[in-house]
Amino acid sequence: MSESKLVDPSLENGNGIVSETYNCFGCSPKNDRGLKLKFEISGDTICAPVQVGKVYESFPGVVHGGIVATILDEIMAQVAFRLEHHPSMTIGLRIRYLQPMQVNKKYIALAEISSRKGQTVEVEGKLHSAEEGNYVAFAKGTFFILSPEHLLSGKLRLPNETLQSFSDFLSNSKV
Amino acid sequence: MTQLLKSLSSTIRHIISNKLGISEDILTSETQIASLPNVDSMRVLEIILEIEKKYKVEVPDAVTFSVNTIGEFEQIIQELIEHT
Repeated sequence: MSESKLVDPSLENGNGIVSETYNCFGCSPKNDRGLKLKFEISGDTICAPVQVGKVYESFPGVVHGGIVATILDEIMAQVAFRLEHHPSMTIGLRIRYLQPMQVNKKYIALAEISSRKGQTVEVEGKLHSAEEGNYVAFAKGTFFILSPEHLLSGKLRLPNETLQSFSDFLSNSKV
Repeated sequence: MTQLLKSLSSTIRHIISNKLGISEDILTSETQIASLPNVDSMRVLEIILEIEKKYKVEVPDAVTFSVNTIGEFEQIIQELIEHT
């Protein structure tokens, strides 16, 4: 992968300002129960190394399918976010499972945009073994990009703390 | 064989042959997909994805694991197209 750069997901606005309320299960380094994913950007693709422990097991030795979905949802959301550095929300998600993800084994998750229509972005995500390269799951996600106009419209049915955090994010982005 | 199925069959076999790197000549309705050279779950999925894109259909997840022959697969796609 050429010219890739590591991104700290806690630096949501790219301005080096860490949000105190940031607790994302997928990527916050502060969430003790979270996956703490770290992302690498290379051109139009984002990838992340993933290794999941027994706490996220379903059958012995196998990672819960919901966690696989979370990994893919998270990395696809990161790609959508980095289009315009506006928060986005998942409005559709389809995961195709090819084989079980194993506990404590190394994987790579990656995602890239497949199309965009207005405020909606379609993203493809994949998860494969870091060592053998065989694919575990493939995802297609649809994300709605929350522009400042949407966030300030009052029409979004989101909790107040969510709207406040978005508002803080937008304010910090202008710094 | 209907005209739609003929055209569909030709396109599907072309996609399969491209994805697996094999000759279209060995593909028949009775060919067991699992027995084809170079086949694995990811390649089967890539074939399905390309067909979904081309015909603007969504193949149910169960098909990936339950379809046996090329003929069965072509029949499923035809039914999806007709019901879209």
